[in-house]
Amino acid sequence: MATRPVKKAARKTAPKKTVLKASGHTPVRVRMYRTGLGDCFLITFDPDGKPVHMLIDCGSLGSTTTGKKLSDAVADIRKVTGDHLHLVIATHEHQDHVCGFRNVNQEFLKIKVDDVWMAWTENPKDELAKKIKRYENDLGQALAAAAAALTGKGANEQDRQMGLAVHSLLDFAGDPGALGAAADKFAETIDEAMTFVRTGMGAKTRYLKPGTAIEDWLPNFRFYVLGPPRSLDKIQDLGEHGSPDIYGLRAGAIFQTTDPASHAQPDESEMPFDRRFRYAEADERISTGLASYFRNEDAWRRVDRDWLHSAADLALQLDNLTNNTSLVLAIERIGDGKVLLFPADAQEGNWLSWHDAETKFTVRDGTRKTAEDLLNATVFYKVGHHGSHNATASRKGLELMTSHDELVAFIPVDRRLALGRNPKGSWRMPAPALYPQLLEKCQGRVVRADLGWADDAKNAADKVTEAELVNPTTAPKWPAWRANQKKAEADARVRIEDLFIDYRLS
Amino acid sequence: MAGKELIAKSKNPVKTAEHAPFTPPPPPFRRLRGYAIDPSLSTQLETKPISQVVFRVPWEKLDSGPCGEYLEVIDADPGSGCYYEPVNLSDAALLAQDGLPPSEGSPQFHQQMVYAVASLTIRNFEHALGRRTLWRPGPPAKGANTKDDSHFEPRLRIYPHALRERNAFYTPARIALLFGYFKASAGAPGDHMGGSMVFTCLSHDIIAHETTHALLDGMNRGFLAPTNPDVHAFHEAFADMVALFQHFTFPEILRNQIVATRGAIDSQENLLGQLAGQFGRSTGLRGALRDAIGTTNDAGVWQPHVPEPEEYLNTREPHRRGAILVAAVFDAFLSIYRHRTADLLRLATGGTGILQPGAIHPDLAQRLANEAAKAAGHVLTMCVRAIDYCPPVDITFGEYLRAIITADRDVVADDDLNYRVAFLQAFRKRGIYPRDVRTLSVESLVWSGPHDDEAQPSEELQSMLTRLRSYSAENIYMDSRKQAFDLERSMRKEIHAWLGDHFQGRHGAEDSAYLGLDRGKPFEVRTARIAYRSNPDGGMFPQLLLGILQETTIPANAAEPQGAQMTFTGGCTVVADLRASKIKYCIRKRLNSAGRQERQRAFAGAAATSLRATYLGAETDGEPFAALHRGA
Repeated sequence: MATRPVKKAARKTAPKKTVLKASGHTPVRVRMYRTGLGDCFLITFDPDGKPVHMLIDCGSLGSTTTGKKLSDAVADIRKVTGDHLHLVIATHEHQDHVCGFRNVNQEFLKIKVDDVWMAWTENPKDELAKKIKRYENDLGQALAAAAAALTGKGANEQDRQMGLAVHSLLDFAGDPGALGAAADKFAETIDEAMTFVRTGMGAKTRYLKPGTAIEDWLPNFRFYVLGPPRSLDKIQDLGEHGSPDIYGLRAGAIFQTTDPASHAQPDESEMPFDRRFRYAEADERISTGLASYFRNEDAWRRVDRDWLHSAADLALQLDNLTNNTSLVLAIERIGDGKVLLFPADAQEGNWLSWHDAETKFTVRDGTRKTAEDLLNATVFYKVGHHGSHNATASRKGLELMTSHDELVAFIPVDRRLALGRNPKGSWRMPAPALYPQLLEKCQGRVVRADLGWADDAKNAADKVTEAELVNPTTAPKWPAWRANQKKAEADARVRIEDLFIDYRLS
Repeated sequence: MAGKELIAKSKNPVKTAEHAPFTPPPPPFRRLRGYAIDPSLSTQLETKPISQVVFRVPWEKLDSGPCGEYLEVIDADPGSGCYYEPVNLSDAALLAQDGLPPSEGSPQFHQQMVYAVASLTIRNFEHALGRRTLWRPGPPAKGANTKDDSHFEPRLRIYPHALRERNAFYTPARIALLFGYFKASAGAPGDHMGGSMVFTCLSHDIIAHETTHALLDGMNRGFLAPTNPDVHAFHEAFADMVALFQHFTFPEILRNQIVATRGAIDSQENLLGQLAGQFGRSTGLRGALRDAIGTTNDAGVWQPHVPEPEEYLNTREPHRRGAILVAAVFDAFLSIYRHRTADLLRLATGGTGILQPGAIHPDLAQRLANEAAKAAGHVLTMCVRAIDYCPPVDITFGEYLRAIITADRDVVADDDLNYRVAFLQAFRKRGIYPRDVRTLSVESLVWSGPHDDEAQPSEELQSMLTRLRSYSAENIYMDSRKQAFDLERSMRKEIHAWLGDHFQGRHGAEDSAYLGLDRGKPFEVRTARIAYRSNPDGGMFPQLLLGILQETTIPANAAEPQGAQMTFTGGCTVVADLRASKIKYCIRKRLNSAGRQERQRAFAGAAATSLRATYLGAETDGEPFAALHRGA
């Protein structure tokens, strides 16, 4: 696909060196790479003095709007950092956050990395983490098998569509193409990426639990760990009815996709009745006894693949579960208390847990901080989960971000790519309901990786992609919002380039 | 010698023209054994004695499957890649022993269980409704109009082992019930053995619940379109109510429970709440219903739930919202029951009404059980009958309350036991009111009739009713459901043609407005049924029930008239007295109601933000219940 010219930064001339420590505090630069649907953020403390570099995630499901690749981003990272990253963070096990650590790891090998931080859920020695990983992996395998059975021979269109949707969701977590004998390789690529971050970079790895405030890593800055929660319920958040039996689904799906010629026997422990009760269609007791089931004119009443349809809901659960294991960091500049918030893809359960008792912080000088304090002081918000609706809590999240005059939001998204996933048009990122709320909160200072500054969607060049975001109620506000955007560029707070967009806290 | 004589006689029996061959009278019931609630009860000491019952289902000719007039059980298990042999309940060996003995390990018993409970549910439902029921029509033939509904489908299919999950649902697209099985998790086995197979098709409540979904859908397909948060919740609640009150039709259980919990007899809601609690547990709904009725506190003492109006305002998940409606109806039932038994308790206690410690007298237990069964029957009848008085689409709980009150008043003029007030009070406590009623009283809740309606039908419109009288006569004598289906279709055709002409005539404008329709747009006569109601004075009168629908599209966003569009449905339910040729009530959902359009937009907007909608789209592929029960 041709690269559409992205909004050129005509004001690129903003002099880099003239912005000094205007506030008297150490400046911070956040660089969002425009590499599509996924996160890759380079944060540089004191960029004009003695820079300290930290990388949060390096992943993407692809980019159709900018056409920029992770390799482009990593090349820039190498250049900017002089092949030295002080800290690398992999927030959670999803391709759109970490696939770069596998696909371009040869480049990363050329970079010196001092420290690695990960969520406690990635700690191979943590019992609860192991339990979650085991469940995720089993569920992923069951779903990969179910997706294959749904799209296999004899599937009708509805089944096939559902199989494709499950497939699309699984792309986050692994490689749904790995099947049959290779089913246990489902998460192999993502495992490789995480293992590379854990051990391949030659850095010290630290696993973080919520409620931790890291004060000794960098002078003048504190790093607060808000999530993932230590409670399985909040991570898992399974909805009303609990989890269906994933092993039954898996056993059935694998059995169905096995070549009949192999005469494989099903796993007896997963069968509801003794063998003596089970008959094949060919048996006369069935072909005559249940003749109406096989009648052609009654084919619309058959139920051959309904049992696989739970896969769609399980795929949502899996996605939600892994997103909730996101490492959530709030970075505070101690001098003026301003906060940069990086919630990765945390979903509702994770957000709500920030306000729990165990996430109250008492820092060295005795000050107490709560999640609410940190949200109140947030001036930069990395929008969760590419702007999907469930990844920005409203009452316990966005509404608490009250630094209206300053707040800037960056959305790492490629809307066109998201809408192209299966089922077509359903992945709504950013979500039409959340988008205007964000704009309102930030007074227009919302930046998207695909387009640059957010604009009134009715002026969009790509009308089809932006159609859902058209919102006439915001129309009267746009003149003021555009002025705010101009101002943010003029004072070099935001700088838009082809490959990246910078935010600068001076 | 005597032996020889006998043989000779039997070889040459006396046979004359006057002697028809002996035919035994048809049995009133087919007796079938089954689990009273679910199999877990038979493994607990307290509940073992009542864990199994003999269901008495209507007698009918049955083929193997079982396959009868209403139901067809098909035991295909695609998840395990096999089929199970269908049971033949007409086999003499099974007839002689009330069917197969309950067993989790025999698929044939599972077939018997789903057949028995579904049949019983249909019978109880029809008994309350006063006429025979039809399933929704099958899909149109290939190439036919998509709205063609001439496909009569006599049987609901039941697949007892169609799913490998903790789920069971009714699928309108296939007119079938799908039941799942799953392994109880070793971590939280509940009442089951960890790792053992649990079958949803062995739970009385789940079978009754799903069957009721199908029955309700057959009566009114309009209740499937989720246009406000009450619609799906109503479907769930109604299915729960029918299943819940079915417990009270098993005298063994009822009596046993009344005796066993005698210590709580001075607060009867305790006992009956426990029954309802079993129900909540076994449907696997994590106690949504149980919590709405009451909860057991830390000390193990059951306490009724104190209703708060905020719950109705803030609860949106259909099962939880539905549970509020069930709790309201159950509350009304309890008030009625208390009222009915107050004199019994006084008689049994020398006038104090306070029971002495110890076991209660068996006669008293029997009488209390009778009263409970009677009250439950009355409440169920009120709830089912009200369906005829509901708007055709976009139902809300408040409108359902109006329907209950109106339908009851039409049949029982003198409400000396205060049933209607009991309902009103139970609903009011939960903040469930109709939107358009200024004051809350039994009188104001009755649907507007000719005396107080905002609009009046023309004489011509009412004269149409006389043309339909001949259908009423035919209706009385028809003997098959297929005939009922065909009769309804010809009535609908005739009414549609007549109304179409009428709308273009002299009174067209006023009458289309009266019916809440836009005469410039096509409309559909969705239902046309005749019901017989008994007058308070004992006579019968035929009633015509019409459901008329009209569809249009409106912008999904009011501010963007050219943007995405959504379907908006309006119409009315007409209740008419055929003998007097008068329209009694016209319950409208106007096609041009701006308020309703706005509410539907807001509801659709909220639904579109769910995680499911984000990744899988808002479409449910014609399976509104599948995902609802999975709860993602």
